[in-house]
Amino acid sequence: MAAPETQGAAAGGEEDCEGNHSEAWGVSYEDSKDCILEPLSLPESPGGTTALEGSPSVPCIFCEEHFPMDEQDKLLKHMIIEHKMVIADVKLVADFQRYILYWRKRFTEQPITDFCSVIRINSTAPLEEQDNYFLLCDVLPEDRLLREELQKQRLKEILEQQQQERNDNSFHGICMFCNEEFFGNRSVLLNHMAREHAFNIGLPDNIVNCNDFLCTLQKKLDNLQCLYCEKTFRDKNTLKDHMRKKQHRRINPKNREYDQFYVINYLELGKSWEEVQLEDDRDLLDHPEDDWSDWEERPDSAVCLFCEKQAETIEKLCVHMEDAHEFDLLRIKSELGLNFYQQVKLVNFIRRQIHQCRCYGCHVKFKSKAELRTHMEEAKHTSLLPARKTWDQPEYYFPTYENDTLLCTLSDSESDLTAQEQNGNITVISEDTSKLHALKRSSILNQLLLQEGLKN
Amino acid sequence: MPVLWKGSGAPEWKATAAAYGARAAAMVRAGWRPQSLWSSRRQGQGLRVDPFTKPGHLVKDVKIKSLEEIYLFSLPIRESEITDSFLGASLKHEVLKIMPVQKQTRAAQQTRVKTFVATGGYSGHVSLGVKCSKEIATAILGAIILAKLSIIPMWQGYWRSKISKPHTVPGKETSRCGSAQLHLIATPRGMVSALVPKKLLMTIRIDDCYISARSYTATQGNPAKAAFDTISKTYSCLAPDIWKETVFTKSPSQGFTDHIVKTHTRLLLWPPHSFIQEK
Repeated sequence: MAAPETQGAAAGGEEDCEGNHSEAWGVSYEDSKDCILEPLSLPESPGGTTALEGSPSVPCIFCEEHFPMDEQDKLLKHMIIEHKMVIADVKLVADFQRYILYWRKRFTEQPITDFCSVIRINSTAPLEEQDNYFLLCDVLPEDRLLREELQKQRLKEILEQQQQERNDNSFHGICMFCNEEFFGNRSVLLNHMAREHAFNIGLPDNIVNCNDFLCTLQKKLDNLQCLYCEKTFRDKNTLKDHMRKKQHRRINPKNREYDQFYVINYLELGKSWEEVQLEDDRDLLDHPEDDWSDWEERPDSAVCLFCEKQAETIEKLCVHMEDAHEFDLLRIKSELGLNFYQQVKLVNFIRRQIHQCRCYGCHVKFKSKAELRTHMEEAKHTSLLPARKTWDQPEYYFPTYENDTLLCTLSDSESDLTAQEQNGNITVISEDTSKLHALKRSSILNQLLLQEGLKN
Repeated sequence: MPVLWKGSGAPEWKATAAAYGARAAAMVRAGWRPQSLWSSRRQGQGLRVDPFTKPGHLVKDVKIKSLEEIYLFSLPIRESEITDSFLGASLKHEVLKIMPVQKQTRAAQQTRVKTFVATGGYSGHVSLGVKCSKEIATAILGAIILAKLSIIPMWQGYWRSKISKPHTVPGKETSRCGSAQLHLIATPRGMVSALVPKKLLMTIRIDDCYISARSYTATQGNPAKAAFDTISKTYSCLAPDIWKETVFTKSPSQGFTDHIVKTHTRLLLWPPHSFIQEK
């Protein structure tokens, strides 16, 4: 499941210099031999949805014939002729392959008439000429749910793609009109064309698959075709003059080919962007605009201290560590009376020792983490913590792993939230507020505001 | 599709702050870049480019010299241009998430796009905004404007000694939102937290902080809001004597109020209900 952590250049090779801990702040890690020079990261939790592995062909629902993904029409024709099956609104299905595969599985479980409405043709003719066709459409609730689900899935993918493009600064493009080169984000090129050449295809945030879009437009121009009226011209100069004189420096709004590049077209199937634009948002019934709670994502998992197991909540992880490694974090915390900072130091200390394959109970170094784990389990050294001064050092404030979620879930005991640090030495100084007092006295608002309010 | 060139120009004027986002977006579509909207007037378009609140006027005339004065006197910020004129270029925006939502109308269900934006300046101000709209660009712009309206200062701290700039939180702060409870804890070095609160704090260049969360649920929006609330508490809990309740009304000595009335009477008179004026 989880890959082993990225190997830092742990210079703690053969020798073991434990005595080099120093209290000073600017402790340079290079002093001690067991330093970790590069940032380490824990393995991320495995991602959510898995993409359908690319079999580029779609099988027929009933038989074993396969058709390539690009040739939907052939498959539909085959199904009508051979199996008398029609799918309604097939162009509106977001993901054709998944749709077909789903129904293929379902038709093996239940007879077809459970799902499809039957259409009888030639009903007035004699019996042998009558024929039944099956229609699969979204009147059936299951079908409608499936279509909506596929639609949502695709919208999510498109939004992710858009997000990636928005954050991507490695774009390189050439302006179509002046041949100037642009680097950075795609919005640089689009803004340039909008400003300098009055060529506006939309705000960069509304566009997805920008590279493909620009390629399509460039191809059209290379074929000497006007982008708006789509007539072909003799040569480049004629084309340029035409576009300039007739103000055709825009794209044809009726051309459906460009629909795939605008996010608004993915919002709802079956509605063109014009219809969506015309919808009046003032009619919306529920308006909890600042409702933050519907943003849902998988939470980051915390990784066990000793093995690679990941668990989604701290309770589960503690239970695992107790069962598998006999390490009870909560008990240690209450026995030793650790506050937040000390727990952090302890966790970082253990992580560092485990990373360097060293048992903190007996200081023996092992060749691999698996060996270390077996040793610690047999010898029960997991709960054999060394003396406090070994791990209660300032250097263990620095997190061993950069994305250690376990640290985020540690908490102080309730009574400690307001108490000061028992060991002393922790001072946190805050910013100066004397300037603010001076500002308040000198502001002109003193004169404009009600006098009573200021008498405090 | 070129949804920009719809007809001849500006949409119908809507005076409420909620529609501010739509107006700004319309202006940008018409070719304007989001600079200060107070800088010029466009006749006949029905777009307000003068401030319409008293603090707004005072800021434009440079009578209020810093954003802190507005905080100290507890004035509500109802125009995003106020924030722009003080913080301007130092504000950085970070889009936290874009997600689709289903909205219910009388007719049917509609899908819209909802954006969460965090904005912050390196001078120690931070804010969050949410907006829902048909197009991503409109949603982002609207969220940025709403964020500017609710910008708050953060009190920062140093660990142990005051070297150069403050880099961490001043002590321990806790807050909750929904089911999420967050603690912000000072630390010498290293930002350890979930991704979302981390992005929020990084916009104000807090490099070092531990953010520990009580309940780790799938809802990510609540930790963000909880982090924001915690930040707003840094001043209110730790330095309560600075912030006092005030009442903004006419004072007996007219002073600057006269100045405003004299120089700014030639305001747009339609729609009249959008003015905040005392009689």
